[in-house]
Formats: sequence, C-alpha cells, structure tokens
Amino acid sequence: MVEVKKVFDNFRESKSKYAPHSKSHLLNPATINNIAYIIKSFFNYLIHYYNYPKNPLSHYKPLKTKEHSSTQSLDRGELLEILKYAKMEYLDILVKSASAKKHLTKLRNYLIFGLLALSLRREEIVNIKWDDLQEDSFLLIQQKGGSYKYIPLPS
Amino acid sequence: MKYLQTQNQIFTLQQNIDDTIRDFTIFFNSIKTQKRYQTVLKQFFTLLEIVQLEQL
Repeated sequence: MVEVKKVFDNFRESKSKYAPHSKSHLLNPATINNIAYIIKSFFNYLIHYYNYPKNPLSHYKPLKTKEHSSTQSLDRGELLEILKYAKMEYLDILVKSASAKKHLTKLRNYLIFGLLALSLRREEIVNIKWDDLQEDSFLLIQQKGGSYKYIPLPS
Repeated sequence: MKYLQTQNQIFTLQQNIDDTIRDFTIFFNSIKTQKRYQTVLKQFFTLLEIVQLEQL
C-alpha cells in the first residue's frame, strides 16, 4: 500500500503558507484543508465500494484558519456616514421645527453615534452623567468590570 | 461462482484511477464541484504516480 498519508504530509508542507522554500506555490491553510477533505472523502468512497482497508487521512488534523467574527459591526466609513446623516438631520430639524422635544431627540441620536465612534459600550453611553464630563475635554467612564477610564473628547 | 468473483475482483482492481474518480464525483450534483474534485484528485494521484486502483 502506498503511504498516502506521508505523501500528503509532504505535499502539505511544501505548499503551506509558512514554508519558506516554496514561495512560488503558496496555498492558503483553508485550501489545504479543502484538498485534504476531498482526498479523505475519496478514500471513504473506496472503503465503501472497493473494500479498501483504511482511510490514510482519518486522523488528519485541519490546519488553523483565520476565524471571522460572526458579530456584525460597522466599519469606520459606515459609522462616519451615519454620523454625518445624524448631524444633518439634527441641523435640519433645528431650522424646520420649533419643538424642543424634536430637537433633543435628534441631538440624542447624533450624540449616541458620536459616542459609539469613541468605542464606548451601550451601557457606558446610557450611564453617562453631566458630572462625568471633566474640564470640557475628558469623559470619565465606568467600565464593564467597574474600573474607570478617561476618554479624551475630540474638539 | 468463486472464479467469477475473483475475475470480477481482478477486473475491479485493474480499473483506471481516472474512471474511479469519475464514478466518485458523479455523486455530486454540481458540475463545478465535480470538476474541482476531479482536478484535485487527479493532481494528487499523478503526484503519487498511481494509474490503476490496484497500485493503491
């Protein structure tokens, strides 16, 4: 029986992204895992239909791949776009309506997105008091674990 | 009967690896997947210099 596992290991090492000697034929770890999966499933087929004794890649450990977070988040561009829109809406309502309640709602929306841009948590934003504003340029924030941090405010 | 079984086994083992790969990939509905599997497996067995199933 040919040592399929050994050949595959050699193949994997030669094509791996971290192998310095094969810069011209680099493969992503995910691609190598994909190839391994294909070969493994082919040997499973051989076992099932041709009584092949053992799958040589049965104990293959997949290479580590980059994990992507499943939490959706806004990127900087999107956040700035929302901020711009919130500011525009606030200025617009200031001109068009005399209602103080409407002014405050739009101002609140603008401030929430502005504070989110400072990487604050929802809870931290909700708990901000006027007293937390220090010398008009710093915000004193109580963090998740109970500790405090100073946030410099942009001018 | 036993003779026939043996003959059948010999015939099976002498089957070309490309034919075996083709039989295997028929299970997949998507032609794109079939082609990808065929390319990867053919490349791998060429690397191993395996032409027939009995060489495995």
